[in-house]
Amino acid sequence: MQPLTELNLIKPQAMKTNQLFSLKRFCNYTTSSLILRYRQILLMIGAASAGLLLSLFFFMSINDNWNNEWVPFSIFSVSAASLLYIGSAFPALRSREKTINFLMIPASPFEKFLYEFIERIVLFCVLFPILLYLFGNLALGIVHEIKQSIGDNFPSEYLSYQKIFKDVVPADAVSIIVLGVLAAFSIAFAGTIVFRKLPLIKTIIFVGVVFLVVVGYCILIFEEMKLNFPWIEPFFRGKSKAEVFSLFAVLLLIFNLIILSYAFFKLKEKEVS
Amino acid sequence: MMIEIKNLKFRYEKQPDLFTGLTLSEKAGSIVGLLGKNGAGKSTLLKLITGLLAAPDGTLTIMGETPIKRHPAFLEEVYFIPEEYDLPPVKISEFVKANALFYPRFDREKLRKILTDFELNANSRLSKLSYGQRKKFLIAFALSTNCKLLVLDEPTNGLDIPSKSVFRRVVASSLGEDQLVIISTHQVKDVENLIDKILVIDQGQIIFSQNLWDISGKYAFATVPYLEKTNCLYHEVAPGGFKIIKPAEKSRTEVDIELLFNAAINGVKLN
Repeated sequence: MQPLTELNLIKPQAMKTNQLFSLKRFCNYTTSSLILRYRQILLMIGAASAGLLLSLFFFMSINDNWNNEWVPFSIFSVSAASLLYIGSAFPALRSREKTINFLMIPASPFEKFLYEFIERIVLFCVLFPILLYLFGNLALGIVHEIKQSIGDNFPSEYLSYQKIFKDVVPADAVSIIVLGVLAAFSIAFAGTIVFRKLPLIKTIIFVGVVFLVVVGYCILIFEEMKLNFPWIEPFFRGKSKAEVFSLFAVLLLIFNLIILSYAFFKLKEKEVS
Repeated sequence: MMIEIKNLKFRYEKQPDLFTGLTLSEKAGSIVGLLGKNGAGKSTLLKLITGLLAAPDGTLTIMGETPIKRHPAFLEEVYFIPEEYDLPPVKISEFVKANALFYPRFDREKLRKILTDFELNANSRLSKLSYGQRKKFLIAFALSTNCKLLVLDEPTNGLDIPSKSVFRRVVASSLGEDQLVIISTHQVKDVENLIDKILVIDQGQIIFSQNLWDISGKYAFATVPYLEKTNCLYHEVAPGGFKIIKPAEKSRTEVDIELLFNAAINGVKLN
């Protein structure tokens, strides 16, 4: 038995510094996660590509033309893929045994949270539009060739994000749309920390119930009692459309920060009974 | 002190109190056996020590740090093998590559030796190994981290008889003076000749805490055909007569941990 020495204690200086975030530790954590998960990530990219191709073939085969279909298809595919991918974040929190491993990894909760945020939300936002662009145009080319070879007329145009953002989405509303989509992603992401089993389904139900309650409350208060939004009116009086959109963008940004902060603190306080 | 727990109170939600003022302090440089009946709170105590559970009341300090904060500098010095565990479906070598980088004093040569002792191949896929083989790998990895605090919950569960003997050998030979190992187990025979201190937990308290050397200096353990009329502190019926604990005489006897444990939880004052 050795007497008490400073060897038995963690160096006080080490405890004071870098316990929230260290780039070296974050890189170690990323390396470790990628070594253990790169096969799953590649499989998911493969599955998303195959899913995109198959669904595009299906929808193109039942449509007579593909001129104005990119926007609805993009909304559909982004919604489905993001819910499935982001809604399965923090796979280590799905069982008690995996949670123990996850919590005992020598990285800070912020580093673990940031890695998952990058892998699930940032990577999705970067990679999915590329996959959609590549496989969307590939599918269109193939379908176009097939239809032409059998003599079918198939009016269509290739996917162009520049064209969508120029023609379809109003410039003022881009920030609201981006932040609104991010809010949906953040809610799905937070749900994976809060709920251990079936987080995506439980999050959808929870958000749905909250939404219905809020909408129901608004209808009851404002419609039935004829209050005519008295407290909202001053905010918008005399403001341009762009200013109102900016106000909503700020509100959405705050909402996103609140949701992500809540998710982070839930992760930080995670326990295993 | 490596572990400093004072007046710890804990209970799970909607459950009766599990710890009612538990106090414990441990220095580095020993292998401690944590014994207790089912439901006594052994695994819960280990989770509190490793920061997997928060202690709502009392003081709990490990290496000068509050475990529930789970600071990376703390986690680098603690390795916990739970009773039930999950390992990713990768090769041993990949697992090591992915996890060794978190532990500053990780010793690959030590890992190679222990894997050889346990007859494990670094190219084996973890998902293809048996429960016992995976446990042996985890023990090998834990020892190779050279963490200051190793916490092993039922480490011999699932190990075959030769592996239990290898386990005792590698644990005893792999540790440094600045390390503390806590082994929680039901199977006291598996850790005989390994642990050098016994903690017995019962009814929310540590009811017995002594070094084996001190115990063997104070008490003698023997099997006798008839109960001696005097000096018997505790006895149990055994094949061939009775197993007894009595005050030590001139020579030291080997400590019968199972008998000692039974005596402690039956209220015999041995401290």
